[in-house]
Amino acid sequence: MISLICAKELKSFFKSPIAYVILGLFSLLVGWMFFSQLSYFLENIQKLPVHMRHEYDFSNEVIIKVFGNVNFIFIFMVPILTMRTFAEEFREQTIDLYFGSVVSDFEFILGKFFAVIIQGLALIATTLIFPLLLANINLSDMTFLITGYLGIFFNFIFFATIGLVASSLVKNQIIAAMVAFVGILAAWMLAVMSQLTSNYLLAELLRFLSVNHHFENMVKGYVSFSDFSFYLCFLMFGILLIKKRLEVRKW
Amino acid sequence: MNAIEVDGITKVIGERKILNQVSFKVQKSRIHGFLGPNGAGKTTTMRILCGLLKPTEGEVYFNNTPLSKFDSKLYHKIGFLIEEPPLYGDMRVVDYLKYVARLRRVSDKDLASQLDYCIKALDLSEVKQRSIENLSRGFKQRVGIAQAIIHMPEIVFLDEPSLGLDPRSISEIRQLISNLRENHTVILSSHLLHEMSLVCDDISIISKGRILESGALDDLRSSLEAASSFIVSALRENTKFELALNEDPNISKFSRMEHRDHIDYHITPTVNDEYRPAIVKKAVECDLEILGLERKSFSLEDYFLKVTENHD
Repeated sequence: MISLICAKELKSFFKSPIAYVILGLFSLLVGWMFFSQLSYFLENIQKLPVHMRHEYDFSNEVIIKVFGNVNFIFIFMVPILTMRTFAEEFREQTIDLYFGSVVSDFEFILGKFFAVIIQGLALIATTLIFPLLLANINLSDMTFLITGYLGIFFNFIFFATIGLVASSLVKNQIIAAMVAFVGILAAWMLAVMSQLTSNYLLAELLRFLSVNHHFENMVKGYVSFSDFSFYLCFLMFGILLIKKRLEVRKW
Repeated sequence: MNAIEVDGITKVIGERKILNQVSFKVQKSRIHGFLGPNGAGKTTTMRILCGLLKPTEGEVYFNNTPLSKFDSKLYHKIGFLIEEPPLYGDMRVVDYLKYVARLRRVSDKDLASQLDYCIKALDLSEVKQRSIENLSRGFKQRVGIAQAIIHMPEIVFLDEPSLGLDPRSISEIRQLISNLRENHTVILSSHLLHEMSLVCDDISIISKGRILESGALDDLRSSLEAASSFIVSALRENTKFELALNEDPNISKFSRMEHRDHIDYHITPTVNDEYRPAIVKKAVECDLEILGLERKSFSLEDYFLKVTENHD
């Protein structure tokens, strides 16, 4: 059932022009940002004396910044990707096809979730061209690339979870996108808020809850159990919230 | 045998009691009409029967099994179209029906034959390869009914299946629903009372969340027809005849309606037995220049209005 629902969602997504608008726009923005970072790096490195050039790290100056940019673009793209997912089903009453049938709520939610995750992978896949272009350049550490991609993938899932919860709350897609955007922005801002408080415990808590903190760890090559558990817990929490929302409809 | 037994269901949303101790039975392989004015609780009852909404109190039994004990296997037994058809506009009709069939775990072995059955029963052959969003409202409604029966459920719920259709489509949908009787028990709600009287075997009337009447339409029809009014048409008025009607203890009421070239006497007897011969005898005795005598036909609309007005 999960694969059936997921396949239907993907078919529907890739049949609609919005898929290609999002993919095109995303590739364009990331491409532009990548080449800006690369030109800036090359410009700067040429200004340095030769003996100091090895200290000007390519990974830090280009790769990490590009991953940061991708993450920033996701703040705007993910709400658009997820806004239809449940809201449209509520509005068109197609949700009744799944309720009162042999499909469980979990199967329904997971089918939708996997479809969005695959859409996210398609987006991320368009950025793979940049490491391929850089294949001739000696990257000091491939770990940056792998953990960086893991970071943006997990961040995508994090943002998508917020987007899907928002989509399950309302019938209107635009409102769903706006709620998701505000939610993602709030999660993003937690890191800033942690720096504003003088209370150490509160600052640490906010820092842990901030998705940026975990993302930065991964992009810098530090992958810990704490980061994984943060993303996993949030995903499970989101799925439970959506399940509760679906149950409320029957009350 | 009862396909469905609704036992005292009550639904409270917020502080509003939408349904109040609703009870009725639906027999197998019959079409059961569910009538009620707007906001009477028809759709809420339908949603509860389909398991889409939980009742605050009471229980629904399908083949003597409580709905609250339903597992996914038992959900194979029901199909429904509640309000708007749940359609994916971007899918082709045939792909949509296949998708719904798979959601309801129709095996690959049965899929082709059940798809064929639906397409034939709902007359969808000419549009099966078309995108749903390009279909007319009538065809969309048919696809909505097709999804309700694609898994060959025992019981089919159809809530306002003719809503917003033109007269031709209404008549076609009526025929399609009549045909469903062969393989399914159908619970049908509609505002089109004339359509309901043509297609239903049994009816339940609901108003303000309460069931006012429930029973076989034929029983209702015969009891009403036995005691129904007559219309005696005469060339001109006859005071002797009117006096005789006034004095007859077997006549509960009569009224006179004057037309351009004749006059109609609407007479309602109190007795259930055939009273037309006595009326004719009386007319002859009074020298009434009689043009015709007809029994006022059974009208579900009149009955519905009478029942709901009494309740108001």
